[in-house]
Amino acid sequence: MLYFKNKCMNCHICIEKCPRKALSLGRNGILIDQSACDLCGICTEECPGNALNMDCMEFTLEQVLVEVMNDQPFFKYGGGVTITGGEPLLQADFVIELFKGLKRKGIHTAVETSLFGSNEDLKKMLPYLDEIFCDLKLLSSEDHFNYTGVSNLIILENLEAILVSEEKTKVIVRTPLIPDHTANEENITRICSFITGIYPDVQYELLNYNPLASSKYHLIGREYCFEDNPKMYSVEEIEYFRSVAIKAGIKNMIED
Amino acid sequence: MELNLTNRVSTLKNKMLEEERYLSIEQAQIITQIYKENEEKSVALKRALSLKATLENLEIDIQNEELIVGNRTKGVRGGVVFPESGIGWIHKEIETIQNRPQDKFNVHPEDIHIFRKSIEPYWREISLEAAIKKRYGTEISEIEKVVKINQKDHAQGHICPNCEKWLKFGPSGILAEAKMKIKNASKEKKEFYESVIIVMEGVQTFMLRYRDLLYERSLAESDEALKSSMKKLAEICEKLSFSKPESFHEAVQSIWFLFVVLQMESNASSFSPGRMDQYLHQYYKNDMENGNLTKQEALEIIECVCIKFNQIVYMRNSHSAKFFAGFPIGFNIVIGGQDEKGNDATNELSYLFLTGQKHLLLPQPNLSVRLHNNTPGEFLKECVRVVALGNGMPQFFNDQSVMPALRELNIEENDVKDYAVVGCVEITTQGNNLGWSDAAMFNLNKVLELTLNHGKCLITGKQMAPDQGSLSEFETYEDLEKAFESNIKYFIGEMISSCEVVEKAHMDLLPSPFLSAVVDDCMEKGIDITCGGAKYNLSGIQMIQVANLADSLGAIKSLVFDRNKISRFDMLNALQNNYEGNELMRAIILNKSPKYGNDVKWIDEIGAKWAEIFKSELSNYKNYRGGKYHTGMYTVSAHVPMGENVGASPDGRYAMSPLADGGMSPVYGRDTSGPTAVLKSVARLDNNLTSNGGLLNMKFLPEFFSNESGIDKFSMFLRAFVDLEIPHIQFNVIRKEDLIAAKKDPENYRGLTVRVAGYTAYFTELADELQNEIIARTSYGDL
Repeated sequence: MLYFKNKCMNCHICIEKCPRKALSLGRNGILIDQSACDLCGICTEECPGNALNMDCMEFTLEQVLVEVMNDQPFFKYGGGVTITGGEPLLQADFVIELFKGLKRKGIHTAVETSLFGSNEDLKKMLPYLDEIFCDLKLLSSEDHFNYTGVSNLIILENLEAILVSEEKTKVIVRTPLIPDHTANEENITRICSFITGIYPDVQYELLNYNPLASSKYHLIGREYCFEDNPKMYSVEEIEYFRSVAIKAGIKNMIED
Repeated sequence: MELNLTNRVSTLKNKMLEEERYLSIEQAQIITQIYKENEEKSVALKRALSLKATLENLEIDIQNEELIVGNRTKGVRGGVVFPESGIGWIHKEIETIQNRPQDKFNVHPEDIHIFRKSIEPYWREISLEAAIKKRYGTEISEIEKVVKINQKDHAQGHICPNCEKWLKFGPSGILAEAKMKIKNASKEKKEFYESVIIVMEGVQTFMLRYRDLLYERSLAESDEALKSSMKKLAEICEKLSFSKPESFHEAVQSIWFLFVVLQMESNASSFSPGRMDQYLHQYYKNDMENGNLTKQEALEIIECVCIKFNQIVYMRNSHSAKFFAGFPIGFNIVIGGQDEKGNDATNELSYLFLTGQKHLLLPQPNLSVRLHNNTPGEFLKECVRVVALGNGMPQFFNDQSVMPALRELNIEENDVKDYAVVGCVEITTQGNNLGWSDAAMFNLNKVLELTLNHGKCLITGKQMAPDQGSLSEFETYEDLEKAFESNIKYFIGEMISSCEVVEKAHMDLLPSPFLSAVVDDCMEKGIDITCGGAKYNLSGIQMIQVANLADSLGAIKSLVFDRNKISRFDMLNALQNNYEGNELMRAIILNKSPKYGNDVKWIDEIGAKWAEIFKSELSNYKNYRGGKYHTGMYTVSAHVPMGENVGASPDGRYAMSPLADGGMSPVYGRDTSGPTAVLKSVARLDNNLTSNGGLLNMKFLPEFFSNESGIDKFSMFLRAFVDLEIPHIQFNVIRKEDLIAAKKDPENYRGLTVRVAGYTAYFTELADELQNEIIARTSYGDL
């Protein structure tokens, strides 16, 4: 459940209508007791200003396909469907069925994954994909554990598996540049050496730091990793990081 | 080969922009004198003689760098006082026009005196404006908050002349034609041909005066290159006076003379050159094949005429200048499209016009592109690259939508294929049409307001329409629909009577022999264009605005009648109080009822349904020239003043605030499902609703166009636009100021998305400092 304070009209209808008494009035507007909330959605329907919003919605396979096909006039010329995070591998069965359906309709498919999931599922998904975007944030297992809470062992195994598979040409490995975390010469060099060691022609992309992420942290009431949100990297800085990657063996650099 | 912006062209552009603008009463003095000297003659002859005297006597000027000469005032961008159509507003504003906030014109103090003493008194009772006021003024102002009747104080314009005929015959050829036709003509037709002869003789003299001036100035010019180009141009002017153009340069000069004289005769907003890349192509091709012209030279000539299109402006009163800022005059050039066989017509000139636009980035010409299924990919991309520069041009028209709509009006197939654009977005056939495309704007939202409130205005309480009850009394949604339909019919009837009076006054007071000579079939029939001489005689009525109407009726249907979330009484009460104290209800309306522009079928279809009802009622009438009425959906910027007339509306809009912009666009900030959903919604409006023109405005941040992959995506988007048979689209690149406005006023910008490295977010949902950062990096100042 998300709460947009700037949309809240302070009518408190939501508090009144919530059957689980999960909402209350705090100093900064509505407080959501996420553990009491059962996501029934009544408050989001009643809230006049749409200040309360579900972060997610449940769809059946058919509903997703209907939604996708609304854009059919555009698919004739390009575009398609990308399943992205959360983590698609965590809902692998659904995602695989969806990709099958999309392929039957001739729609271009892509996935954005952290690769933190089952190798079996990943293998099942591959045949239905046209493009596979894989995140690789940190090569040091220790750093990875410290920042994300899990080791990157599974991720590296999965990456290796697809980079030796027949689908390796569809893979684009991406590293998001996060100041003080991923954006340093050593990390990028290690990542690039690792992936080119498996598949020398691998496609690689560096993503500029995305400062918009902080907004979402605030919406769900969580603390952001930076007190002072850094700026995006300049064209020159990005160029520097790219040169590091190229020096480490990248031949196919994706530029936007 | 890289094509350059030459020094000559930059010099001309800078000189034009540096020159001060003045109000000009020179032509008004000439016209007044001719009218006084010829009191006994008919209006048609007086008009012809006035134009001839203007062509012979008006002070002219040139710049030595010019490759294309001619203007209707000595200085550039002069504000011409044109007494025959109406100068009531100048009488009121002549002192303040130099200090008004928008579109200032300098005024020579002695001109104020002459205007007051000898011009204004003569025309006070006999101008077009005065005649219409006398004949039907009360009736027209009775309905003005609902229907804005246009062309009450100026000539209609919005015409594409037959440029091909002009190029083929020139003034001397048309003069010969008139002399032949006059021999066997009846008495009243004799007068028409006589007028044509008079004005064509004047045109010849006008061209020779430029020859003389060019020769004279060339003698004093020390730069040999300039001297020789001036002499060459002098020869061209002379040749055009007695013969037809042969080279590309001659043809372009000939076309510019045509438009200067058309504006001299009518002072109208918009005469359009139409498909210049088509009718000039033969000249270009011949010159290129014979080695007489290089691409760079052709481009320079095109850029010189494009600068010229900025030198004639249309001076508006201060109210209208606020809404049509920058004195737009609608020299609309349309490139691309299809030939008579339906093959793609894009050629090298089409690209050169795009390059010219890219180099100059001036407000005129209004550059339009016709797209169709076989538009070449490279041309499409080049168009998008020019759009990316941020001045909204070119705009795009869709053959796949426009042509079927024209066929439905029984336009002949060759004319359908050859359609062009006049004014802003109005559709016309070329060279044979008095489309009267801005006959009136019909405010559907005002009619709904009156229907909901006993026929009384929510702002003033005045009874404006028959009392059919009110929202509190309608038992069902269908009852409301019935009353609404009956009120629409009532105002259509009132509107038609007013339009007829206006057309009749134009026939009586503004016969236009020069224009008639270049619009088929006036010469054939011997009938002036204002009297129905043209092959096609249409009248266009704009429906204002379907987006607000769909959202309003949708909210009433869903929240009041179907879901009982708001009572009829409460809704009416909120509207009467402009939502004061009803903020929660307004939020429910904004957030809990779907809106047009989000690919929600039932709500989009409400808009389409009422537009169909309007159109079908209108089709029961014929205009005063015997032609059809048809409909358009565009306001340009009139959504602001039209909104000022409308009280609070059931779509959550506050009283007197703007309506949706464009004509087919969703209400500001109500399209929150992305650009593809907007196209899908707009596509639900049938083609034939916009045979007079439609306008869809979409806004994007510059970063969406910043690289080739962005350009590709826009090209694909335009391909889908063609398939969806939407008549028109234009892209505005969002500027810093827009983002600052969005930060202050999130409600109107809810659909605005920003992109950061492959990630898209709603701007208004971002935290303060992030908004600031995006504002900081969005800048178009350096282009």
